[in-house]
Parts: sequence; C-alpha cells; structure tokens
Amino acid sequence: MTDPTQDDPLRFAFAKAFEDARPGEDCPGADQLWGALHGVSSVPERLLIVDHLSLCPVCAEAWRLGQKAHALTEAAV
Amino acid sequence: MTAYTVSLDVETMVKLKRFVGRISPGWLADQREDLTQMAAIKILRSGRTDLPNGLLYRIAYSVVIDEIRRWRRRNEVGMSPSMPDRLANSDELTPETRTRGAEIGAILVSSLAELNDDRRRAVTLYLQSHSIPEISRILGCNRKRASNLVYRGLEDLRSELLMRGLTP
Repeated sequence: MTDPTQDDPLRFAFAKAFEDARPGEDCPGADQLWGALHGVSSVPERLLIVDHLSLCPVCAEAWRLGQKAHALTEAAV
Repeated sequence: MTAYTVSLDVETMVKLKRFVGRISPGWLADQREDLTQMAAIKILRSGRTDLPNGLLYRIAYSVVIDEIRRWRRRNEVGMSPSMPDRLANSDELTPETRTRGAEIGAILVSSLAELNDDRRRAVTLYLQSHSIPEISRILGCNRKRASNLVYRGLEDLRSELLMRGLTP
C-alpha cells in the first residue's frame, strides 16, 4: 500500500457500481451518514453504517460526497 | 420542482448555494437552484437562521443525498458516480476497467460480502479513498490494526475476485 494509485482500479469499480444500484428501505438517513463521517455517532453505530456501505453503492456514493463535504467544512470553519 | 421562492438573508443564501454546488455531483447541476431552495425551507422550518457553516453544510448535504435517492428510485440510469479527480484520471485504469466499470463494480460488491466483518469494513473505507488514520478513527481501532485489516482484507478481496474470473 505504498503507492496510493495502486488500487485505483478497485476504487474506480467500487464507485462505478453506483450506476446500476438502487436505494433500499434500510438505507441510513443522510444525518446518520454525516454523524458517522464526523465521528459524532458511537463506534458501534459507525460500524453498522460501514457494514451498509459495503453492500449499498448508493450509500457509498453518498459517503463519498460526505467526505468531500467534510473536507470543505473543515476548511470553511 | 419548487413553485415558489423562499429566502433567508442574502449571506446565508449565498453560502447555501455555494455549499450545495460543492457537494452535489455534476449530473445534478441543473437542480442546484431548487436544492438550495429546499435547504432554505429546511432552515426556516427549524426556526433558526443564525446557523454556523458546519450546520449549513450538513443541511445542504442532507438535501442533496435525499435528492440523489429520489432520482435512483425513479430508475434514472446512466449517472456518473462522484469520485476524486485523481481517480477519474488515473493512469492505472485500463480501457476495460473504464468500459466495464459498473459490471466489475457489481462483482466487487458481491466479493466484498465474502470477507470477514473487520476486514470488509476496513477495505470498504479504503476503497472509499480513506487514509489509514481516517480508517482507524472511523473503526475505533489503532492505526497498526487498521493497516493490517486493509492489507489482509485486500488479499482476501483479490482472491474472491479471481474466483469470479476477474484479475484485480
């Protein structure tokens, strides 16, 4: 894992899975995703969210957008 | 979408518009004005108008995510996923990966499900371009353990992909 680009094909494919995915009834709310990303929620709650991300490309997409927002928030505050 | 316009003070509206624009993916560009209005309605309903930037971002994020899910439920196909510029332009991507990305992605998601819980979580965050320190923070473990979980998890994932006929 020394070269950050080494696993780009895997990351790219994981993101592209979003194109064919549909949200389910059990998807966490945007506030729950935000809380997990910002460390507001407890560790067990975060683990549940990450478990869901591995199965749900729609929420994985939302998580990526949250990462971007997280970085921008840090810069804005 | 919205048939009327609501408004907060000019400074807050400008910030909201900027935040919505930064968070929303390119394929939602046409909706940004409406999304800003929806975020403004949310703020007005909360009864607070003196919101710090962090909270404005959170509201903008929430509105954008809800909209993405609505589009997906309506079966709007062919949307480009958001990803870092570095990834979209990576020299590591073969033409096959680019053209078959969604198909490979579906196999990748099913392969991930075969990993044990700890490794799957670490690899999932790694595939989301998180660093080892970020992974350790989110999972609540030390960096050495996070690094080990990613390393072992990637090995497992590659084995699963090979069994499905993909060479990672």
